[in-house]
Amino acid sequence: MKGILFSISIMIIILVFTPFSFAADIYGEVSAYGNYAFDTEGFGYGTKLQLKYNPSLSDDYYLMADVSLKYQSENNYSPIRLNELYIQGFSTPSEDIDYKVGYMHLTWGASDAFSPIDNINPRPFSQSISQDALDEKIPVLALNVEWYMNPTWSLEFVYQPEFQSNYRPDQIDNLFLGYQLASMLDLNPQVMQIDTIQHLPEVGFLNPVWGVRARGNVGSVDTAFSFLKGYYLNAYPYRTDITVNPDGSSLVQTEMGYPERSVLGAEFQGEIPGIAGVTFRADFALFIPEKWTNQITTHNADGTTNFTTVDVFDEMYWKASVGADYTASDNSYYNLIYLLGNPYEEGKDINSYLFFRLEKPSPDSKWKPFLNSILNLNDGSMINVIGTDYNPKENWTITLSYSISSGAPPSLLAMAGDTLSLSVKHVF
Amino acid sequence: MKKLIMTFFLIIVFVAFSLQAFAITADEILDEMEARSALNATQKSVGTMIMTDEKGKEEKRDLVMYSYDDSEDTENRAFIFRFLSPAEVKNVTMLSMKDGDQIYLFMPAFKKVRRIAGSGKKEKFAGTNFSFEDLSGGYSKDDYDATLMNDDDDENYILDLVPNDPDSDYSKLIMTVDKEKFYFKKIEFIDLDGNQWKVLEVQKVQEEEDGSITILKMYFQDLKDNSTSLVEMESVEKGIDLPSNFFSVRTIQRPEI
Repeated sequence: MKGILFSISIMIIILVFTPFSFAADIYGEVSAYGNYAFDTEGFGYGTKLQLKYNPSLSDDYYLMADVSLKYQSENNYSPIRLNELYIQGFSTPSEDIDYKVGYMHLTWGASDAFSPIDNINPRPFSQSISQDALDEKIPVLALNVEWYMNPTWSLEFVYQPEFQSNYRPDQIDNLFLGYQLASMLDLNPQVMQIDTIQHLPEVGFLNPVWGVRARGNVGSVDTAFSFLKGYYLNAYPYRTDITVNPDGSSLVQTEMGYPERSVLGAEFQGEIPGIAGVTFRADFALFIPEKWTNQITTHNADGTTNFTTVDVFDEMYWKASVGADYTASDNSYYNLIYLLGNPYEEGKDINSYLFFRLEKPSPDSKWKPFLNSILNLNDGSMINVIGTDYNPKENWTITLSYSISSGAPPSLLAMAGDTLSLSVKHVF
Repeated sequence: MKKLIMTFFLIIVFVAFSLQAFAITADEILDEMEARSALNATQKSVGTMIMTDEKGKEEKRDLVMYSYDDSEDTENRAFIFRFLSPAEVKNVTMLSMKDGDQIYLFMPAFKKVRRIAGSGKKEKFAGTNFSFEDLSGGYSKDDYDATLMNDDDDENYILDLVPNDPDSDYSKLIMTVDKEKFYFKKIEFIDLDGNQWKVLEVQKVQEEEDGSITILKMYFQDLKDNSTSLVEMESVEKGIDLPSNFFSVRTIQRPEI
């Protein structure tokens, strides 16, 4: 009932704001969605109003304000979201410098999806692989400066004096932790009560998250090399206390923190010599984590106590996204990407995936049927989404899709389940 | 009698050589067209595009376009094309550099610039019936094998242009060129099966004092999906001052250009 009332309030706000927005140069979108999960027989729905205001303050300065009012029936990290709020300066303080300061989204990486270099902004939790879900980010407070050194190369600097983590609902965090512990210690995750305490890293003006990125051309290939010094955006356990009851149930108390990490990145995009018409996009990231262990103390039902140390991060590792896309003469679009790791996997948990997207628009571009597939090469789990976008009139998009997942838990792909989704979006 | 024959023979030879000397070739026509369009290096155009689908439904888009044309070196040819409205394509911007060899697309929603390559150029640009390939370059003799098909029309040259690019969507283009002002009045795009696919007609031009030609209105038909686009420029400024690095990915990310 609360959700319905909230949705109605959003609709009223939309009706009030839309005429005003035209007058005040405010633009944005309004959307609504519903989905039905066949496995859980659950119905999910949500509405969103997003308003953007990007006025010129002078010839060289702009303000960007982007806020959302969002209701979703589950896993909503905030009903009112500040997406971006920053001042942007062009060719200032000198002709070859642009900068932004405030709350912002920063996108690094050449890949169209799941770039391992795109680590600055945290994300809200989502099991969807729709473009809207992939593009959703939580803003960070930052200073972003780009120095255009010459016509070919620029140097970007990011300074972030505040830490912001990914948003993952407690029950999802507990689910992952439960499956991890169950696989290591022979516990039943179904009868596990988990309490967690999270400690945020001490990020501040003198201990910021920071990064540099050089962008330019090497021959005909667009390239970028980057270095980012900061922290993982998901929390990891470092002290776990488990009490196993005689009935097989267990109580888990875990302290979690955010390990420090450095990420070296390389991005490439261009044409493949000898294969006309194909654009390749490749991102490679080398993660160098601080050594992180989880000290596990298990109090067994028979009164004995075991001590176990699990290495969470003990060595550097690679993540990558290597793909190619091709548009045929009938305007169908093919995109195939090999992924080493997804945004939610790190260290020893990394899997290999194949991601495939096919779009085949109708000649008048009103209909755009698509297929999205992601296959976990390690365990064979898979999500296939078939659907279509439909543009009934200017500025309106309706999307209907059916998602089928296969595999077994704890695979994230398997846990997505089968879902029928419908969304309507209007941009103004 | 011998003298008469000799004189007659010389006249024939002279006439034949004169005709040869004054005949213009297809490549020369393309060169002259390029020269006429490149007299002013920089240009800013603001206009509208009205797209009509097969059911007759119209969509209007406002646009701004900056271009740089260098008659000395076509490799320097570049342009920026941005939609100003409606909301769903607002600030979607295309940058073409190196005479269409390097194309970038800025989609504000994704906050990054995307490289478009190869047959990506065949993709329709932001829902119009223009492909990136249609928009990305001029009609240089370097890109086509050109043949002059007529020499008896007082008003127009008819050229057959066969693309050098083996991946082109077109088997040839048939171009009608104004004999006096050297601009194309019409281009018929012939598909790989030999059928007429698209027709581009220039409906209004402005001749500048320096002899260059500015296109003010053009009409583009896609005969396969029965859609049209009418592009009309409301203002054209020539010879504007632009920074040397204006045609760059930096520029197309700006909220206003």
